[in-house]
Amino acid sequence: MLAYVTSRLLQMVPHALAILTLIFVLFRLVPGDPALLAAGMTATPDQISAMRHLLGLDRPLSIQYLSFLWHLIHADLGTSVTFGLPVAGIVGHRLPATATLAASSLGVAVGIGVPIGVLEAVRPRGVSGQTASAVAVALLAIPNFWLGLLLINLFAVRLHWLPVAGTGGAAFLLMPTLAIAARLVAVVSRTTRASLAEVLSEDYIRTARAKGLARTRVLVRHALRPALIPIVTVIGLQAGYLLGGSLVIETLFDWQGLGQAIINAVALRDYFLVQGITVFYVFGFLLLNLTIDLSYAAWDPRIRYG
Amino acid sequence: MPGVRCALSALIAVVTIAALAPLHVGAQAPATLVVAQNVAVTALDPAGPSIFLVYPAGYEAAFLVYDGLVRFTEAMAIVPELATSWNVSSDGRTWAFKLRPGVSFQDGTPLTAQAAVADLQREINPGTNQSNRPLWDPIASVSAPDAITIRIVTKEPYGALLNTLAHGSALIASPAAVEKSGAQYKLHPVGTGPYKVDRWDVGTQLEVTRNTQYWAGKPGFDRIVLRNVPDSTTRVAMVQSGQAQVAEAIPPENVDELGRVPGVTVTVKPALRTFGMGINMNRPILQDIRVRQALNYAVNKELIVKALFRGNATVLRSPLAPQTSGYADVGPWPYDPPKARRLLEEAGWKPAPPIGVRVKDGSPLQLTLLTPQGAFPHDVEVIETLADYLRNVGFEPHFMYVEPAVFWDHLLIPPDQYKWDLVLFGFNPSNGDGGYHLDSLYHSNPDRQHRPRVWNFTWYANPEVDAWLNQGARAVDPKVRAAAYAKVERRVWNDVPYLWLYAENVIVATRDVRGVEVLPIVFTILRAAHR
Repeated sequence: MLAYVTSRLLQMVPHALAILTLIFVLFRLVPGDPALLAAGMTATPDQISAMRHLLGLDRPLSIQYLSFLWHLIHADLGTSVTFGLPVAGIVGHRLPATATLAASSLGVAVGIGVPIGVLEAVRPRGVSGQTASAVAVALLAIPNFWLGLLLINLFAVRLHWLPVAGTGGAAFLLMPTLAIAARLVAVVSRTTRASLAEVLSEDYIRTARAKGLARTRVLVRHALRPALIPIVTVIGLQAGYLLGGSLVIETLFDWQGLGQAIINAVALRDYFLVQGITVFYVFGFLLLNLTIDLSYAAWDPRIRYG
Repeated sequence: MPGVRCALSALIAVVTIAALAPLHVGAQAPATLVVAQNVAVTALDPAGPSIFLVYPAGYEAAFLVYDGLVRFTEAMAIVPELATSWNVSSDGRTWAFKLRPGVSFQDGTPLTAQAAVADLQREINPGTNQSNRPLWDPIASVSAPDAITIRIVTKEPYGALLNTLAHGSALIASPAAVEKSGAQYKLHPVGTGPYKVDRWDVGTQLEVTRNTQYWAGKPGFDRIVLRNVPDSTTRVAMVQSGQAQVAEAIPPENVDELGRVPGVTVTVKPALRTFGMGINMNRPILQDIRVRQALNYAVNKELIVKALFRGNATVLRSPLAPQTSGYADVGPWPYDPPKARRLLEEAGWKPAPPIGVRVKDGSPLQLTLLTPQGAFPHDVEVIETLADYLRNVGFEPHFMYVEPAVFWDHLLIPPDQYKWDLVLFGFNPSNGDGGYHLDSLYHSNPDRQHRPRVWNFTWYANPEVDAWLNQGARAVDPKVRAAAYAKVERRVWNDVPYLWLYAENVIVATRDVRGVEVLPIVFTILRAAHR
């Protein structure tokens, strides 16, 4: 297991390097001049070139690239031009809000999506299965910002039960969670249904049933566990996206996480902040993928690493 | 499968109960004012370069933390603040301001003339203050002949000096705090204003608390929370639900609905920000004045205002908005498509069937219309509507949409790099002065190698206009200034470097709060807000 993890971590190095190089190149191709931004709109050409020098943008690209990597090795994501604060600090400050929202959305998605999927798989032609199927399709079809607006209008503006927007306790978390989870419920339930339906058609399930095992026991112990692999994969991918912040929902609910931070950074042309957050996303995504892969062994005893 | 079904029903029940239970909405302490701003406060150094970015939120926060020597009233009159009185020498170049006694900065250091001078010297120094240069460059020196007098000497007589001193960049910072915090000062502001910074989650939320040492008595709230709520729907909902007491940049389409909510007041005020399509005067086909006139006759501006802004804007009758100092009514450019077609005919542009785009010497009458997406209210809709009017008289418009963040990169560049013919642009004279507005947009550029001087990206140049602008700037008597600027307005209007459109209204919603001042320069001033 340890050897496997080590080799996977080592494999990540070329991946990460390729993506980081791509980020570096793309950010140099983006139109706009960070030095002009930092110096101010009415700065003179001299002041702009002084700022360019201060930011190191007048150095050869190769030197800038090496310096970018050198700083990364030291966990230095650079300094935000707008705020004058280290990017790593901003990411660290915003991450808990995004992580909370991601975790609660995934929790709701799994808690509702898996049972719906099971119902669909077990009773594909029954009333409950059909209803569950219809609900899943409907949830998939509603854009999350629209659902968010409906929730705000009902629970905050009309009923005054929940605050409209902001970052805080459970009351603040509920609406953005539901807005994000709606689509995830559908994704998780669809995957569960497909995966479980396939497993249920396997020979060993027939054998288990033939042995006279209780239906629930067959379903939960024999079918659901191996069926979880694709579900976990989907959840892991979604978690990766959510860690990047649900941009629209964070903005709509003024949820002060990474998604809102990166939208602000783009609007303010905070070159280094956008670059730093993107780098953070890349590493977050790679690590999350590894974690998901490693967790397969926990779900399906037939999978062993080593 | 009773087990699964049972678990499922239980889960649904729990979620439903959780969703329906009336959770306690984080009730605000009674003496807190929550303000929903459309952009974030990112820096609070009046002399800092980046205060422009955070317009208007940064200024609004700065006006809580700092005082200036003078300030604007809601009607844009200039009244004493830290200066109690002032006079100007007969040659119009030396100003003396008497400082209010007994005022201290929030860090405890006293406000002396020396302290104010040290701060103003930071403002006039191009090294520290790279923004707002046109406002500060006319000043030659600042000195303190005694402990309560500030003397400002200008290079020439400078009629708009008081406007500059009422501007956000002229707010007085504590020199001791500036020295102590150095480059980080923009995050640790210290002024003499009614509120001081308490907690600041930079980019998201700024909380200020009552300055107990405030010279003008107790401010109306213990705490003011300025929150960055970028989505207008969310800002509207926050006022509707009572989660915020002030919300700015309310879309015109929400005015009626919000006005019906009990306790909510919607303030709609004509603003000084003017909008128009800047015309690329370097493009050969646009150098023909008849084509530029045709552009102005071709567009029904009244209808654009009515349809897109629900009437919440005023069609321009001058390069300035009414209420700007020096305003003169010199318009209008009426909607007259036959006249526009006639002018284009005279200029040699003949309709070419079957699609009706005009042609001259084999080339079609094409225009590229540039706009940022979402930087100005209804920007995309405005130019798409306008394009239809232009098509109607024989132009072939093309669209060029850019992200707001890179918009300026298409304007503040040497003219041979331009990719547009018409550009949507809004200018707000943040010192309330028409001279500043006219000078920024219409004073000729010094050379063609560099980007435009200030905002004259149309590359309009008229020596007579330059002379009148200088004349106005050098006059101290408001009547002399107004006369000079009226001449500028008339001449610019007739030279047509713009397709002039409208001046918008500022729209701010308040709930259960009084004393909120909505300035026509788009700033909401909260220092006098109270229950």
